[in-house]
Amino acid sequence: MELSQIFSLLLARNQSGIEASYDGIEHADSLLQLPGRSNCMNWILGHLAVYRDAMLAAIGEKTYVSSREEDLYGYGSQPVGQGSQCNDLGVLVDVLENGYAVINDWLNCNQSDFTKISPTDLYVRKGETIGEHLAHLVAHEAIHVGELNALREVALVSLGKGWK
Amino acid sequence: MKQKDIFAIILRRNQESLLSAIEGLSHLEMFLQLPGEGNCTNWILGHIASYRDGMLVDSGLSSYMQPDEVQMYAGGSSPIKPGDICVDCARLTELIDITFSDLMFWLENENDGLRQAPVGNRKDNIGYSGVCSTLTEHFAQNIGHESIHVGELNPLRELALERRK
Repeated sequence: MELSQIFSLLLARNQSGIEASYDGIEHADSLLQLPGRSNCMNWILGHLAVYRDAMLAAIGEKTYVSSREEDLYGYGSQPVGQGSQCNDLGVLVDVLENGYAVINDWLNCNQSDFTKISPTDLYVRKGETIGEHLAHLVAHEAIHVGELNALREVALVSLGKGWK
Repeated sequence: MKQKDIFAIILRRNQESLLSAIEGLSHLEMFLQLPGEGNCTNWILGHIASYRDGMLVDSGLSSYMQPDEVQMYAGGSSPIKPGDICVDCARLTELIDITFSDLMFWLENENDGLRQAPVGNRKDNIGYSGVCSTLTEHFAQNIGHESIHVGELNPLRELALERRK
């Protein structure tokens, strides 16, 4: 199993978890909050979009997220809730799906060079090489995907539905 | 960069995030449930430990968990609630630490071992793999799976902290 196949497998797991989380969920449901200081689904999806962009930028592909969106969803940004400025759920979904498709194509093109030094002007740069950068960002992404599970549950409870 | 480097980076991040999520939580706080059908912290820790134990067994190393402990936390096992029979959180934390140390040591010192087939034979738990043809694939699946469960611990920690107020 090559490095690109490992990254592809991990990203596919993450994307599958992301898609399962918002399946049947409306924008308003994405703003529901859990007890404590957890973020809502909208913030997490926006945050994942910002970090997906940092993967795209590292491999030299077109990015999707604006600086306004980086401010809204970047590390340390304000929580998103009812009445907050935020992106529509559908917009976030599109950005995540597009970013995933581009990264996956790059991984499958057999020309991925994971030893290349990653650009120094990235929004977030983890590790010296593209490979290290991707490994950190894929792990970061997966942990936020795990947080989406509880938010989907609370949305389903709110909708009067059980576990899918 | 080698395959094992990816796994080491992710496993280390998982461990750091997991320990942050459970730091200072009591045994009882690890049974708290969020709305819906998510699992409690105790179940998630046992589930992660059992999958790590599976990676150890499949790499030809010693297992730390008893079969009944593994069954309690296997994929699809029943939720754990206060009063249910379960593994004490102190033991689960110990299992999380020792399996992490052993896996990191194995990864740092493995020499082509990831290309081998898993050697575990406990097919009743997917964490003890018979479904992947190489350890590389088994590690990729299990470590990716683990990261997502580690993320599930964060809202449970927030719930516990909120309940203390």
